[in-house]
Amino acid sequence: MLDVNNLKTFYRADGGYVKAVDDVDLHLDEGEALGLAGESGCGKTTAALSIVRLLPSNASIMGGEVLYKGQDIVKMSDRKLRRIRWKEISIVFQGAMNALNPVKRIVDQIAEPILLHEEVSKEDALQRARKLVEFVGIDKARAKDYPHEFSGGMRQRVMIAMALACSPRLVILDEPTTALDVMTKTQIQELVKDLQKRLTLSTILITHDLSVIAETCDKVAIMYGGKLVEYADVVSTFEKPLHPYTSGLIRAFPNIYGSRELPLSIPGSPPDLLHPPDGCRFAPRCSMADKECSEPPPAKIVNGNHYVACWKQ
Amino acid sequence: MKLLDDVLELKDLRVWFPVRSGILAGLLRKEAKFVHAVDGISFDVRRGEVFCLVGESGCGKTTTARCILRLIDPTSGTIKLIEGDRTTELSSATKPEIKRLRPKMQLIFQDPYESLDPKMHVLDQLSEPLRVNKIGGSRKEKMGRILSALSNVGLIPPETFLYRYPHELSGGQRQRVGIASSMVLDPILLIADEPVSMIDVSMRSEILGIMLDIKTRSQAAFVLITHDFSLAWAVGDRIAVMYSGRIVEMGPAFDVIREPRHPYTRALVSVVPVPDPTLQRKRIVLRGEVPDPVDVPAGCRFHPRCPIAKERCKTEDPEIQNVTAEHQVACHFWQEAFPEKNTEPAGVSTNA
Repeated sequence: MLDVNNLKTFYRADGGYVKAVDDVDLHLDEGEALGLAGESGCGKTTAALSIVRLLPSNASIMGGEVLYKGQDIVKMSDRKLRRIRWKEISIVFQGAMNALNPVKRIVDQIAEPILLHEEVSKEDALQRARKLVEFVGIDKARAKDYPHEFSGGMRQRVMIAMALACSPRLVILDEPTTALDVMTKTQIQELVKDLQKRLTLSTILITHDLSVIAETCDKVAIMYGGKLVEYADVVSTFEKPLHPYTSGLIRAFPNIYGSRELPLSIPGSPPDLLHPPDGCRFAPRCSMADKECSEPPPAKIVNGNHYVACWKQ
Repeated sequence: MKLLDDVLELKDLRVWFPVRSGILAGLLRKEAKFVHAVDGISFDVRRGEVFCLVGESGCGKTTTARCILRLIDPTSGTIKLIEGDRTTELSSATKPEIKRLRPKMQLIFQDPYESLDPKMHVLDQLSEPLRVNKIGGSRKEKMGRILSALSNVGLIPPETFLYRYPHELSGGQRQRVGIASSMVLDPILLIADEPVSMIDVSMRSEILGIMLDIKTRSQAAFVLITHDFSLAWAVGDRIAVMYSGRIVEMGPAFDVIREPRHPYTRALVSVVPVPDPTLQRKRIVLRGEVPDPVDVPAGCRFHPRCPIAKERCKTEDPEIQNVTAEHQVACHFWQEAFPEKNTEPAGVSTNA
């Protein structure tokens, strides 16, 4: 359904380009849930925004292709792309629940994308919006409320309803639960899982929290310093991570079912993407790194379909 | 002789904020309303321990911390700070007394990236608290304190860091300077409010490690405020779980997380994210949201969301009961509902 090949998205900056997404491949099947993980600044949000070409003005796609049902979004005309955005692929933006218009009723805000993207009467759009409100688990009596009358979790439900307004096939969720409390987080996760099943939606979940991916996704892609370092199904990645960064990241999470001790951290800090290291970008922080790692690591497919980019595999 | 080395004792602390009402309500003499941010909590924190206050946003954990530091005034209740033989009642302390105690109680900031002044080098940064509190005596003594604070947070050799500005430090080093500036005054009580929530996962342990190390070395009491049970599990000695301004369960970290007796704790623990996709466990997903602190439910505050609530819970506020000498729970029905010691972690289904 979605094939991202050799995607390169760079930001213009003083002194060159920030290589935020550098040669990334992703593949997503119908109804699949993909988790895109990594630390802040690893390029995960840029990668996702590139898929719908909603990049800030100082960023551009420098190479590669994004094939959605066989059509290349990178080369598509703006007019054609508008027919895909929201009707085929929609996004729940990071922190967007705080960007709801405070002076408009939520039902009107949900109807907005419908009116923009489809030729329907206002009454029909509102009717659909009211249904969506119920669909995401909000009491329909509250459809006419304003955003300030909603809690964070409820506002995130509103954002999800907006993303679903034009019945897309693929929804990209950028840190949808990050600012929420653990119980609210769980409620939203359950909602997303339920919607995936009911609508056979495909989703891309972007998060820094690996445990959320472990609990909700089928596949996981780990990014580091603009590069895809590991990409495989969730179970084998968490059971036997092949990239030292992935295993470091997993070990960095405390686990209440494990022993009571401080998890291990990864020493050092992420690379400067304006001048990334020539070889493996993780090498300066990697305990396994040696001479070999000063060359770019080969991309390998191990055990059938487990992608890893590391010299030590 | 005191059996336990308490540094801090809270008794029945209440912090209510008045809700401003309109002129009309005033004219009609309507009852004044209050936000019951903290509503009768008691706990003590001992020397050299990490005491975690855990709860969802709005449960009152940050208000409690601010009240201990006397950044806000308690409505009622007592807060005692104990330095050896000397006990001070913070809630009624005079201004000079509070001023004397301020350096003893230090806050570790949430975002060490933002809490350093970009125009101050490390020496200035660490001299400021000493200067403001008129501590440290001669120049030489002050320098000694600063150097040892820097080496305690792992900035070694400390001399090489003195004249660096924040932009010349890496993220981790900045965080260390932030912690050193809280430590330079030799506090006996440290309060850290979500100290790592804004730091990338791969660096969290490093920072927590420094804090724990300092705690062990200085034997200060450490209050850690967090919404994250897995963090409390990793570093906490004891945990108090707060809900709607109250402590619903309190005890050693192991007991509270592995053998929780309050239905709220059980639910929270069952949904703590775990980085393991094969783990089979029963998640207890609570419906609804935390109650409005202006209009708290009668009886047990948790009853509208509680999976085991009965008639009695609607009217009668549960007292704190002992599960063991160290483990307390505020629930009418814990014995009935969760009588046995769990051998399995809470929520993990055994037949999986």
